[in-house]
Order: sequence, then C-alpha cells, then structure tokens
Amino acid sequence: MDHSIIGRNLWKVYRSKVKQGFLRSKKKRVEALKGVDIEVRSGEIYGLLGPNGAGKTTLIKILTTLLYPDRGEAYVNGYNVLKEPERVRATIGVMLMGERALYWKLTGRENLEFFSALYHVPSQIARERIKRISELLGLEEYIDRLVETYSSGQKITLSFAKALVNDAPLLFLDEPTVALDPRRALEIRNVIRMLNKDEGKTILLTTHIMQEADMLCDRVAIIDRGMIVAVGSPDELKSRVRKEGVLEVEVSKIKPSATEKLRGLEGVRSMGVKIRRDDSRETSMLRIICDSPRQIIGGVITVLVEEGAEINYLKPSEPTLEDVFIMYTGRALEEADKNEAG
Amino acid sequence: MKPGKTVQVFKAVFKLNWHLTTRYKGWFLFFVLFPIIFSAVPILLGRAVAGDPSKAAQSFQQYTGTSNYVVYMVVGSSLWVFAISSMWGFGMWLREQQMTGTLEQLLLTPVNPFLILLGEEIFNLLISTLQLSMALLFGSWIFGALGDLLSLRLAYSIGLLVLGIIPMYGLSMALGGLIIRIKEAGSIIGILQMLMGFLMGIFYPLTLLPGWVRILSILFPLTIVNNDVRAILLSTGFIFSLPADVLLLVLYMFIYPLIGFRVYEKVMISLKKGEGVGGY
Repeated sequence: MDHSIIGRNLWKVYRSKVKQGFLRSKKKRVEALKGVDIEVRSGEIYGLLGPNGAGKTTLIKILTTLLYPDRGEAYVNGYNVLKEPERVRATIGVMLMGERALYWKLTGRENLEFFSALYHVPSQIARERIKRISELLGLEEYIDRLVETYSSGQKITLSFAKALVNDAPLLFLDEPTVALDPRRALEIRNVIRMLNKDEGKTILLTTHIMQEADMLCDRVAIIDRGMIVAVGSPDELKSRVRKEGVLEVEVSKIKPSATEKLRGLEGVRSMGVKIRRDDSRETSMLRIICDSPRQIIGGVITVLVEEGAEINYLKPSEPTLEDVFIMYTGRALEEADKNEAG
Repeated sequence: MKPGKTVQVFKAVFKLNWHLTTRYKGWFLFFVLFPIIFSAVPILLGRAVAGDPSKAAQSFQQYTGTSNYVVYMVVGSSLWVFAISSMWGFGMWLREQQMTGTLEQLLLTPVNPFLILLGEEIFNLLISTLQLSMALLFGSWIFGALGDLLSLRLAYSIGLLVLGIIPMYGLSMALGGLIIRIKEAGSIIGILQMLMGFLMGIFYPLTLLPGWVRILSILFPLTIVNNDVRAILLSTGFIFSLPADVLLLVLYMFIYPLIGFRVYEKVMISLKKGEGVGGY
C-alpha cells in the first residue's frame, strides 16, 4: 500500500446558533474544511501546520471516523472511513488534543489496560506493551497514581501512551507537544521520530509550532481557513521562499498604518507580524517576503521612520516555514491564531 | 465479534465501572440512604397527623387497601430511587464521558459502541439492584417492618421487577441519547425524576390520579412494577390483572429497547454529521 491516508474533496460545515438575547438566536455557519485533498504516504511523518481554527482537528476527526464529512471521501489504511469505520479504528492509534480523554479516577496503568482491552489486545501482551511504553515515555514514576494527581504534562504524555497501546501502523497525533515544557516536548519529538524510523509507523501530526513541523516531518501541509494551501517537504517549501527573499525587521512603536504601507510597497509579496512583549516594552518582528531584500530596504526604512517607528535591527534572513506560511496566507501564524481567537 | 472478545470488552467495562464506583463512594451511599430518608417523610407525617400508628394504618387502608403503610412507602420510594439510579446513572455516565472527552476515546476503539453501552447498563443494573435491596431491607428494618417484607411473597415481586428492568433500560438509553444531544443532564433528569415519582405513585395508589394521567402513567414500566409489587406483597389491587400486567411488561420489553437503540443511534449519527460527540 503506497498511501496510508487518502482524502478527496473533503468538506465540513459547522452550523450553530449564536445567542442574541434571552430568546433570540442567529444561525452561524463555519466552513471548517473547503475541499481538502490529502495523501499521506506509508512510512512518512506528515505534518498539518496551521493556526487554531484552520481545520486541522476537523480533518483528523473525519479521518478517524469521529465526524462525517459533508462531502468527499476518505480512505485510511485502505478502508473507507464511512463504510468500514470499525476496520479503520482497528488499525489506527489516536491522540486527540489536550489532557481530556483519560479517566481521572483511574491510575495511568488502569487507563492503558482498559483501552488495551477495547482494542482486543490479549492481557499478557498488554501488560508487556504497557511496560515498554512506560519505559519509553518515562511514565514509571507515576503510572500507578490516579490520573487526577498528574500534572498537565504528565496527562498529555499518558494520552500519547494511550495512542500506542494497540501498536497500530498509523498514528494520528493532534498537537502532541502542546502545553509540554521544552525538555519534555523534545523527548516526545524524539519518541515520535523513533516510532517512525525504527518501527516504521506512519504518523499524521498536527501542530502550530513551526520548528516542530520542520524538525519532524517528511512532508508538511500548510492549512489555513479550511484549505490546504501548500504541501511539500520542509526544504521544498522553504526553497519556494528562497527564490524570493526575506527581510527580517525588529521595530518598536509601530502603528497599524505603517504595516499597511509596508505591505503596499513595490517588491513586497507578503508580510507577517509577530509581537513580542517583555516587562518594559513591546517589539514587533516583521518578516517581509519580497523579490529582493536589497531593493526594498530603502523603502522599508523610509516608511518606518515616517511613521515614527524605532528600528532595532534589520537584516536579510534565511527562509523558515513561518515565511512559507506568510507567503501563502499573507499573515504570520501568530496573527492567524489571534484572529481566530478574536 | 468472537465471544472471547465480547467477554474481554464486558470485563474491561465492568472493571472500569467498579473502579469508578468504588472511588466515588458517596454516590453509592446516597442511593441507599435516599429512599429510606425519603420514605420517612410520609411515614412520620402520617403518624403525626393520625396520632397513634394503628389509626394511621386504619385510615391508610381506606385509600390503598392495605394497612401496612411502612412496606407500601418503602417499596414505592425504593423503586422510584431504583428508577432514578438506573436512568440517572446511565444518562450521567454518558454525559460525563462526553464532557471529559472519554466518549470520543471509546468511539475511537474498534468495539461496537453498543457493546460498551450494554456492559455499562448491565453493571449499572447490578449496582442499582444492590442499592434497591439494601434500601428495602434497611428501610423496612428501621421502621420495624422487616419481618413483613421478608415473610411476604418477595420472590414473585423480584420476578416482576426483572420484567420491568429491561424496558426501563431501553428508556434509559433513549434518555442517554437525548442528554448527549442537548448536552444538559441535570435539568432533564431533574424534571424526569419528579415526573416519574408523580406517575409511579410513590406514596399513593394510582386510583387517586385522574383517568388520563393514569393511562399515561402505565406507559412507564416501573409504574406497573411498583403497583403490582405492592399488590403481591400487600394484596392491594393490580392495574388490570396480574397476567394482563405481565403481558404489558413483556410487550414493553420488546418495544422500549428498540426505541432506545433507535434514538441513541439517530443521535450519534446526527452528532457525527454535525459538530461531533465531544465538547460541552
């Protein structure tokens, strides 16, 4: 089998009611997926990179049979998600986002034993597997404590362990390192890489951490507002920006009018803004995708000075996945997250 | 699915629920004590109003056909709480799984969800029955009627209860479906348990209800069980006759589980077509 996942023209619209006063409500329609095509090759780590609300979790839920698409079809490990959901579920391991999904009144071990039984893993094999997973993820210290006593990071690690109990060839990991401290996140990334390289597991993971996608994934799909806007290996994607150029500018006291003027400058293709705050001040990091940094540098300085911004530094930069996202969506991932939250 | 795998699933669900039940001990105790305390109100009120217990018994017999008001009340309130416990237990179980995200996790496993639900319902039934037995025994003992309860035709009553349980669980599955659709367990269960109490005639005979309400009340299987257990134990009247009432329960035994499964299935499909089963 060449592909572990194939999805064609997947559409999903959420309809809900928004309260407007005590009795009145207005219908709201959110297009979560708009004709998504996805192909994940067997044996690869495939990343879905996008801001909150981009449609990543919806896509995972459709592929794992938790949601029906409004249109389109999908096959997971060769099985149709709508017609053969039980076969799909028997061949996948899933970690959904966050600390939920566990029985807090059970111990970590009892949780893993329970889910092993639901995957029909014989009890002897389950015991051995849980021991191995526990060693792999460093659960030994707390696996026999009630989950309600766990820290947030420990719960997320246990959720990850739960996705491994049936030793499935295909893993769906929804934001596997979110809310983990940097050291723990790195350990989990190493385990993900090991599962892929040493055990040959195909992995579909969602993330909104650029470095994670860059570090882990063989291929990355950039997803924004329900559409996959670019797919390729991290290097391929970055090389698309490399043909252009990136100018990195750190400024203080920048006004919205200045960013508007910068976007309109000749030679500027796209621009993303990330805001950094520390105790004393707020700075903005601008990443400007352009035809040539040298050609626009004068115009950029003029606009910023005229608009009263203070330039801290300004330099041409190597493209990152963040720049790829900016190039395709016209905004930084952080801006997109804020817009969705707003 | 092979029988061995089915047993494995049941065993896992039982073990899960055993852990959860024993780690929330307060709820177990609540369902044992509640019917006893609840039945104490009319028993003691009756004694207070009528003066000495024999007068209370006399006036009670006029309305109900039995002077044994203690067993009458304890049976009524215990069966009512049994109904609440089984319906509440299942509905709340589903809602809790939905809120904590574990329902999605159960649906991600290859096991048919109905098998998990069946395991949960059987466990719930065993616990509710244990609570019912304890409430009946302690309640009768506290009010000095344990001898009456044990010496009477208890076996027949248990048989009748068994007939009523299966349709009851069909209804509870439908209720569970509605709860995860509406995403509000407390208010639905609160309203329903009061309505059930009223329709079952916990503290009074069904003959006191208006005609159309009485017809409505016998659509609920435990109304028949409650009325007929009293009729067997205390020689009060059956709803129609014992064979007719049993026939009605047997009919419900086939209809209500089908309705329950259908409602639950429809809700799950509509949730999957919509926003999904997770979330608050």
